[in-house]
Amino acid sequence: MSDSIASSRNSNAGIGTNGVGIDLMALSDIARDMPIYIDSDLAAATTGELLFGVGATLQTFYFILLDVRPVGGLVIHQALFRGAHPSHKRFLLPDAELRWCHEAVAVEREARRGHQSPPDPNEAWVQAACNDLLPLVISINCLLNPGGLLLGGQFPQEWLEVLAERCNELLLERAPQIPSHAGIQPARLGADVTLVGAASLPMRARLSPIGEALLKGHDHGN
Amino acid sequence: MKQSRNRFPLRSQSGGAADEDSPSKSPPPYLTLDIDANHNQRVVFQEIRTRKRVTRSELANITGLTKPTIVNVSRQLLQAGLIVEAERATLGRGQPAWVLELNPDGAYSVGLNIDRDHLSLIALDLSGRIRGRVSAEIGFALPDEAKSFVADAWQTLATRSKIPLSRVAGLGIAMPDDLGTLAFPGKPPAYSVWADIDVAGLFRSTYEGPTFVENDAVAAAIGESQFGHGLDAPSFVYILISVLLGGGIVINRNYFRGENGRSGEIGFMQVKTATGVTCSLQDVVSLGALSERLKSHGIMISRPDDLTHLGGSAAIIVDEWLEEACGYLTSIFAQIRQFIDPDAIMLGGRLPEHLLDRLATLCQQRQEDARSAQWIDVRRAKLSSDAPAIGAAILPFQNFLLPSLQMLERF
Repeated sequence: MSDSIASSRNSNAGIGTNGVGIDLMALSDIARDMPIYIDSDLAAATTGELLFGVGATLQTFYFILLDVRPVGGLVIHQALFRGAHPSHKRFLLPDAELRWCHEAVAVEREARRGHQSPPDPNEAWVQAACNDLLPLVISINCLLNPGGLLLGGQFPQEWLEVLAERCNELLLERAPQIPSHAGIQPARLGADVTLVGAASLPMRARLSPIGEALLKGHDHGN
Repeated sequence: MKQSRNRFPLRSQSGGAADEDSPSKSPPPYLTLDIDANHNQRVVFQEIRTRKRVTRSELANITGLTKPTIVNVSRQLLQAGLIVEAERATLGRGQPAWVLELNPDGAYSVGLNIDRDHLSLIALDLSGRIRGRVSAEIGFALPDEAKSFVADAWQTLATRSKIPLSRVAGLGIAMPDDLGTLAFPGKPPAYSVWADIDVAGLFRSTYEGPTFVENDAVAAAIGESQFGHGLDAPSFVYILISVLLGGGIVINRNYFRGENGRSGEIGFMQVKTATGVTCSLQDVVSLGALSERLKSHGIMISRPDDLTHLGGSAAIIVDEWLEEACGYLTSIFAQIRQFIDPDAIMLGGRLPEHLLDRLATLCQQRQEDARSAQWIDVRRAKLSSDAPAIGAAILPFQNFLLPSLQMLERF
C-alpha cells in the first residue's frame, strides 16, 4: 500500500487511489456514505500500537514492521514522522537476502491456516535475524534515542518475543559504549497489528489529539 | 538543555538601553524586556525576523491572529526595542501601512563553546550577526582556565564590539556530552573534573544573567534551524565535525531530543573499515582522526586553520582522508534516510569551511554515482564555523523570544 493520506470517500475520490492507480473507494459499496481512510501499512501499524498497544505508554518509539521486506518509522508527538518523501517506502534492509523473514512469515501463515500454534524458532533463525537487525538497532539507538523499539508484523508472536529478548542481550553485549539502549519489545498487537491499526485509523483521525497540530497554523514556512 | 534559572527573566523593567545603562538607576546586569514572550509574541516576532519586512495586515494574514492582537503584540515588541517601524508602504487605498523590521540591536546574546582543543566566546546580535569573537586554542582547558578565559574575553568583547552589556539577553554554553568522562588520547586525569562541575555556575562572577548549558551539536543544530539553512529545510540532521563527531536532529523545525536527550549521537554509529574492523564513526571521521593520521606521517597541526595551508604530501593525505570520510558518511546517510528521511544533511564544525564544502560535494557525487533513487541533499551548514558557539548564543533567544513546541507545552 502506498503512503496515501487518509480521506473520506466523499471528499476527493482521487486521493483514495493506491500506488497502482486503483480507486479503492470505488471498489467498496458497503455503505455509500461511510468515510474510508487509506494509509500505509506502517502508518496503520504504528497507529494501532499507539492507541491500543505498547506505544500508548511511550513518548517516542521506533517501530519495525517485520514482513518479507521490513520497513520502519519513528513515532513522535503521537504520530508517525513521514519524512521528506512520504510516498517513498523506507525498507530497512534493502540489499539483504532475508530468508529468515520469508521463513517467519510462512510459519505464521501456516499456523493460522491450520489453526495451530507455530513451532518455536530454531537457533539458526534467531542468529540470522539478530545478525541483520542488530546493526540497525545500534544505529537507531545512536541516532534517535527512542523510548522503545517495537517489533511487529507478520511473524509468530512467540518468535517476536524470542527475537526481542535476544536483541536486548546482544545490544548490551556488543555495543556497551553507545549512550542509550532502548528496550526492544514485541508490539502488543502481534501479527494483527496492521489490521487493528487500519481499523483504528478512523478513530485516530476523528478522536485523538495530535501534538503537532498546535504549531500548524504558526509554522513560518506556511 | 539545562537552564540555570527557572523564572522568566525578560520581564519587569521597561526602558531602553540608555536608561538601563544609567548608573543612577542601578541597572540589572542583564537585559530586561517589558514583554511576556507568550506564544503569540513569539510567533509574530518570528514572522518579522524571517520575512525581514512585513506590515501588520500581512502579519494578521500569515499568522491567523486578529488585527487587534497583531497591533497589541507589535506595540509590545516595539516598546521592548526588538522591532522597528522602518517606513510606510502604500498598499492600495487608505493610509500607507508601517513596514515592521527586526531591530538587530534590540538584544544581544553571548555564546561560549568549551571543547577539548579550544575555548571560544562570541557575541551575537538579534539578526544572527557575529558582533565580536574571542578564541583560544587551549588543549584540555580546566574549569579555572575556562573561567579566567571568559572573564578576559567578556571584557574584550564589550570593549571591541561596543555592545551595551545591559542588552545581553543571556549566556549560552555549548560543550560535548561526557566531556570529563569520555576516553580521549592525551586527556589529563584532572580533566575528569568537568564531569562533576556546575558549568552554569562557573561563570557567575563574570555574568549573573540567565545561563543555558547545551550539548555542542544540539546547539549548532538549533542555531542552524533558526538562523541558517533550517529556514528552508524543516527537517534536517546536523553533523558536527570537531575533535570528535556529534550530531543534532531537527524535525519540523523543532529540535528532537529523543527519550533522554541523547539523540544525534552519530559519532557512536558503527562503520566497517577497509580491513573489516568495526569502529565508531568518530574514530575515523573527525578532526581528531584527521589530526592523528597526519601525525602518523610526521605532520603536526596545532589548530584547524593549519589545514588550510598544507601542501605536498600533507595535502594528499587530507585528500585521501576526505575520500574515506565520504565513504563512511554516505553509508551513515543511507541509514539516516531509512530512519528519518530528512530534507537535508548539514555538515559543520571546526573542520575548515573549504574542506566541509569538498566533503559535501564528494558525498553528493557519491550518491549520484550510486544512482540512488532516494538521495539526500548534503550541504555545508550556513553556520558551519563557530557553529556551537553561535548555537549557544542563540539559546537565550530561543528560550525567550522564538516559538517552539516545548514553549507551547508549558501553557
